[in-house]
Amino acid sequence: MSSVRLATYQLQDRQRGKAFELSLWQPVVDRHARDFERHWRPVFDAHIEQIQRTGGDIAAAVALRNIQDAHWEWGRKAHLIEGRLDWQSFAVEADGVTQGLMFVRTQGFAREPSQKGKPLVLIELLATAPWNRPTLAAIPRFKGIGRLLLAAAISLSVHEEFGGRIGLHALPQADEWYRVNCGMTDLGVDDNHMRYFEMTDAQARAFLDK
Amino acid sequence: MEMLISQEWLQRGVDADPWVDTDAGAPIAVLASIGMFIAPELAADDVAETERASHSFGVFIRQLRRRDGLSVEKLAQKARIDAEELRLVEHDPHYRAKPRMVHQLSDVFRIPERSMMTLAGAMVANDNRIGEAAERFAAMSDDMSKLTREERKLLNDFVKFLADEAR
Repeated sequence: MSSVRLATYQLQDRQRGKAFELSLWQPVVDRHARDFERHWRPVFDAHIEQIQRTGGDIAAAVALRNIQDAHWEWGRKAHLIEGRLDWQSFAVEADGVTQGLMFVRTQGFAREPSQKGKPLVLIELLATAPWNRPTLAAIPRFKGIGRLLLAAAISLSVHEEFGGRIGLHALPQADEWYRVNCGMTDLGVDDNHMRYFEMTDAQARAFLDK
Repeated sequence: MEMLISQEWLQRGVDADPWVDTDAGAPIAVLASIGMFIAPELAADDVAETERASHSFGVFIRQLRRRDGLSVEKLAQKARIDAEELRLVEHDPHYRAKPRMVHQLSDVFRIPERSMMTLAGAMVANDNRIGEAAERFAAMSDDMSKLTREERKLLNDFVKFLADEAR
């Protein structure tokens, strides 16, 4: 399967002090998975090793990040996503490496009372490369990868005629960004033990008009 | 699909946003550890095999619990998991343990998480050594109130095997 470049943008690389072209691709393909294995994973592993070396609590670190039950089946059946109409995936590339990944389902339904039952795009995973995360890198390279991917999810929702409605489970450290900066509705911690947020059609319009 | 944002919109947002993590959904490292990026040919979807794995995993957890003299409630409390789910894991081969439960149990029993994930069917291994060993283990394990010396040896050997497999 080949990936299509949907758009290009420019963002400043804060480590190197110069602007790079970012491209948004759909869907995620082998080269993105390879980047994860070769470039992302070693950083994650080093981080875990560091916690172990310094006597940190691995269980607490993992608990903070919250292993989600919902992804159990997905892990085993990742290959089935390919070619399925109800799944879409996106990758952001810059400087020849994958900078962010997103997997969404297009068969979600809104829970927010005013939108209840209406279709939405459900973000199953939105992840940025470890070197772009303030919690893992002293000077993160690119700021805005999450914002770009979120905008892609909203664009997909509009394309699917869902009015821009999206839903997602935020990691604890990202709660405030989704609530305050993106204007999403916080629907509280649900069965997945994570805080669930939704963006209504009006909130999507406001976010895109900012 | 058309992207509905401009370069200017993105730059304005980036300038206004705080420097925070923006991740959503399960952490990607966790997804990788449960086999998200697996080759299609490795992603077996065999119901019978899954049930066998669940049964073996259930027997294994039950034996570990008995070895340590823990009731279901006590283990659930120690692992911070639901006691009813733990009962299902131990006795219902149709029930598949959730990743969080496998993580918590591997922590309590100090079994490498990777092996436990494979054993529980959450992760697809390159070969089926763990699955085959687990089946042999389950077939030879009886459900007595206290572990016999032979059962204890069998259990300890299997724990050692899982630790070796994780290296």
